Amino acid sequence: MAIDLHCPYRLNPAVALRPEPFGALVYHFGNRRLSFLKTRQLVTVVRLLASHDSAAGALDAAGVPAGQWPRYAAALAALADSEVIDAR
Amino acid sequence: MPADQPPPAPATALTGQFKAGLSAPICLTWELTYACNLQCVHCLSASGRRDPRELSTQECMRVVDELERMQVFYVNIGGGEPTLRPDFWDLLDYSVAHHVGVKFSTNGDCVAPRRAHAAVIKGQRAGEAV
Repeated sequence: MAIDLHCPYRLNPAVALRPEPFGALVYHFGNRRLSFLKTRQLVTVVRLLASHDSAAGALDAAGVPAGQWPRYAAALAALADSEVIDAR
Repeated sequence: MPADQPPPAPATALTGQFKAGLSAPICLTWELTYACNLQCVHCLSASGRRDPRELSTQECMRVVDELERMQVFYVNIGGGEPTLRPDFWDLLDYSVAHHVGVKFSTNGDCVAPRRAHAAVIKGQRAGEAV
């Protein structure tokens, strides 16, 4: 699933996010999948999704350098595939 | 690789972090009771008799409270036959309400079809599995 950086997303309400030294562990109570957020900045992005009108807005607010946006878009797409985040 | 992207982290980076341990377990195995209504010869936990020292309902709830604080994602409940505990379904509801998912093993002998169906439906919503 591709991610549209112009669209709004949110952390799925069925997901628990637990901070860890490397980033965070994510557990989906519905599909029982465990995922890893491998950087703290990605954790910040995911947490900011719900309060911004677009994924791009969350990336910007988290201070992700523009050159890294493709990597983050890929990471967000993977999280959307595993239903950790969803469009709203 | 485009010049504006940083090099990928070494493959060992995350596994290296795991050596320091996680902040809490991902899941726990919890033998709520050793009581069992069957006597399977292959039983690994040598279950059958109820241990008189097993936790009370309130003690179990305090354990769940602690697991919630630790953000342990779920417990695997076995035994023994957990549904022999009269408070089993209440403890299951309590855990899920406190964001601790429950997976449990049962021989099914004491689980009425309606109850099993309700647990499955609830599991789809809240993260239990039967």
